[in-house]
Amino acid sequence: MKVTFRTFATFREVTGAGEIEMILPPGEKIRGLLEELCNAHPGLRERLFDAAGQIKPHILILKNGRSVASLQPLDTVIDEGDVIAVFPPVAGG
Amino acid sequence: MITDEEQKRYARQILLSGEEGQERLKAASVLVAGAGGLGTVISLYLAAAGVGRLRIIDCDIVESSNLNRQILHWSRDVGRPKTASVKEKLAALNPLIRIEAEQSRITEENMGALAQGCNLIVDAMDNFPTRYLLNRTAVDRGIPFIHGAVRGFFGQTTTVIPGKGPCLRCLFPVSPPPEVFPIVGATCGVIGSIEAAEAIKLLTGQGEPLMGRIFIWDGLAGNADSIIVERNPACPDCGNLP
Repeated sequence: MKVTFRTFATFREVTGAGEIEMILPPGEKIRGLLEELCNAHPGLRERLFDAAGQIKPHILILKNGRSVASLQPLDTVIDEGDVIAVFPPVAGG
Repeated sequence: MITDEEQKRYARQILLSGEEGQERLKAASVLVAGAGGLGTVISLYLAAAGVGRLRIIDCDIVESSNLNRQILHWSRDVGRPKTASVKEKLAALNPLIRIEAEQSRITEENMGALAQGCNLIVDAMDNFPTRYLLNRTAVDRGIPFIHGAVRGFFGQTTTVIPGKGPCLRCLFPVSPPPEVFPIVGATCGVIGSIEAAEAIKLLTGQGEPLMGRIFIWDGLAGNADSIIVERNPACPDCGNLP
């Protein structure tokens, strides 16, 4: 199935593109998508995950614009045509 | 009522929003929380636009390391309270408005008094714990809250309209880790200007607010994006609103 991955700011510096089209097996979860991206883009893993392998809690993961942070983000199943966005908010002023 | 002097000063804005829009700006009270990188840009544009009462809160003293971005603080201001520095510049820019600059730290205890009588709150803070406090105050009072944040060449902004769109806590339930953040002044200029424009739009009733959207500025790529976002029904700050 075809899905779109979008990212921003410092994550885009690592992936090299803000939007990536991906082909994933049906039923794939966000965990699998991020794993594939981390393998393809060195440096992304340490930005996304903490030492325990958990997604850093301030990072927003959105599925079609809806935050999946309050659910089990990595276990969220992706559907054909979904847009998965990962956004690291900044905090300075 | 707009005076002859105001007619002349705001002529180019009156072309956009009419005398009625200018009167709305004159009648408005806006809380600008912070007088740093974002706050100096926001307060400069809101003062120039003729917002009738600007209440600017900051607890810090101007340091030389602020001068690359905090455009209302100049070399001669190092060592002065930021509030004194901005009040002097804004009063010189626009003597027709009222500027209340208060040197204090925003806390749970004083937040209510600081927001008293304000039509909207504009975020110019550098940390999320205080932003959550501003957000909750805006939600409790049913007034808009304009969020902005920056780092390096990146920034984000969104507008919270309580009960109608997501609040800051819906969007960012967990604070990013604190850090001494790198920053170029131009990024503050971009995000602060968007926040000021959002305030002017809301106050004059023009355009579409950045509600339910996070505007994301990537100055390195020269790109702007926005992502559509929704309310969190379980949000501890606004989940109880209809």
